[in-house]
Amino acid sequence: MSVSTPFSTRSTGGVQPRLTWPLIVLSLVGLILLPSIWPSSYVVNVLILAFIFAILATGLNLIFGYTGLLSFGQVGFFGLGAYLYALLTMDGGVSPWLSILLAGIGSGFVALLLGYPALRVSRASFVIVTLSFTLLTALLARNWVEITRGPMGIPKLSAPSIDLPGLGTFSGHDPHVFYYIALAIAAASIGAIYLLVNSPIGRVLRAINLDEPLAASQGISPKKYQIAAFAVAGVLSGIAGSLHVSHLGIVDPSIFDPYYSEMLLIIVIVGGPGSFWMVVVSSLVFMAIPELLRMAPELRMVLFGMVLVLAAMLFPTGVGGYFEQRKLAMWRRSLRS
Amino acid sequence: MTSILTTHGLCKNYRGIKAVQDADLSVARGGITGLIGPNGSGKSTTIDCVTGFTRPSSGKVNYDGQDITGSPSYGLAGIGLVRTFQNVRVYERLSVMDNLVVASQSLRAHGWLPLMLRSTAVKADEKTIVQEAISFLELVGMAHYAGAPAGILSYGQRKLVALAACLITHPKLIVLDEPLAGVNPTIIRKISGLIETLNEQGLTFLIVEHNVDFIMRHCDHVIVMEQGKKLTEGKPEDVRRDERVLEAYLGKRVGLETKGTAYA
Repeated sequence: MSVSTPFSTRSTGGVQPRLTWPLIVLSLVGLILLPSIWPSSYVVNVLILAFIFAILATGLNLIFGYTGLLSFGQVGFFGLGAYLYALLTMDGGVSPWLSILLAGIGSGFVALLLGYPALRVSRASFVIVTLSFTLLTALLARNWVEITRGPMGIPKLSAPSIDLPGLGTFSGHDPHVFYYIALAIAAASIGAIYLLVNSPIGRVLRAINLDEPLAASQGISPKKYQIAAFAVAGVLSGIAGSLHVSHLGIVDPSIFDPYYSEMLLIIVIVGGPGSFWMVVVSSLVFMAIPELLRMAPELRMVLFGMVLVLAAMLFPTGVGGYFEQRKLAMWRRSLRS
Repeated sequence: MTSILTTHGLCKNYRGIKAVQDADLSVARGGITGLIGPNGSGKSTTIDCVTGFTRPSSGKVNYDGQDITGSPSYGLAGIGLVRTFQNVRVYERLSVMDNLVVASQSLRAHGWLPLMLRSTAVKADEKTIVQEAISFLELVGMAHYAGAPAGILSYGQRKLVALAACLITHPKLIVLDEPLAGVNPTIIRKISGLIETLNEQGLTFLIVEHNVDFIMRHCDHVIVMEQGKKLTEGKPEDVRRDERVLEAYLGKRVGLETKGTAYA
């Protein structure tokens, strides 16, 4: 009963085939070339939204999939980042690029402040506190008129632009330019989280998620890691929110629409919480599906519902979870023989 | 012999239920101390108090010269006090190797940025830890499962992995909560042998166990608890003959020798 095992210190759990890096590079190159192959601004706009959701979903995956805390606060931070961006650029006169960064940091800071009391009691209380936070931010956006302009929102937001010496300035209001801005920011922030979850820190987060008392007995302070993960997820949501409204050109309380929470949860749960790339791919897929279904406008939502039901039946633990189960089954077989 | 761990007047109440009352225990450095007693006698609560998993209602816990009363569980591995759990705990979805690597403490000393970018220092550290993990897995006989997810292991195999995960923290005192319960005879022999070997190398053990045979053979000191109180303590063979201990486990001896009062 000898089993040859590569002594891997890399994180286990999700699918981590050796192909990961070539595939990442290939998809990035594909996404860079796509607008020149298929210059439709409709496609470009759908992809921009997909990139924004990929950032948001990666943040939720970090806090929910890896750390095991179901957060309904991500859309709250998304909206917070959006409003921070609008206020910084319109009222503060800060440049769009810096505003995106500050919106991320600001949201992360609020997450830090919120995470501390939210995690004091239990995981269930965390869910309730984060949900209340999102409802509260929506309420503030609607009613704190002096700052947020209320339901009318803040229109005519500027978008970041790219200055290339010798070639001139490319305005982010052009979807084809914004596509690359969104792609770059998504690649950078998702890449950073990829490094994080595959580092020893990611392994500790998984450990806390799997067995908190065991982790504590080994000298790991669960709260410290949970709060830090929540703050990082907050940064990602804030960045996604600011990016989204700089593209839309307006922020109003509809940024807290349940559509965002729902879509976000669908993306992460169907992709497989704790499976890094599955969730990123799932963001692209779930932004594309409703668009593809426009072919049958009357049946669109019905068909989308069917896709969800099928996904839930075929992959009850998400697509990533399905691969993990298969890996487990493989191990069991190899141990039996 | 000096004590590595002592408790003074340890009490734990759960809303009026006195789980532990006034327990004065001491664990000799370098020894194997057994903690026995019938179900519900307060053994588990005692070790939960000692390992920071519950806060004692009153009393003091002293470990290796410092007062650790009420300090959080995660503060104790760093000073060499680790434990296992009654229903064995492993990270089921992590590989056996990762179960050990995550338990090792030296990686956590690095900052988040070097960890994320895997600086050369982190890589070097990780390499040492993997080597160390392999040697501990070889010691417990689980090395060929290193890459397997811990969730596929049997109950006994998990106990071995949990023990190896304790060892990689470089402890001075290991508290084992029923290390032999629910384990087949082969693994019982394996675990007993390991405890003996590790003890010879200088590790101190505090062991909660129901397996009398094991306690008699391996412990050099036995503490008996009953209804939250310390009943008696001493050498295993003395404790075994103690009338009160038999009574605590089996009830009062009844029959003719109690001079006819049994049926009264």
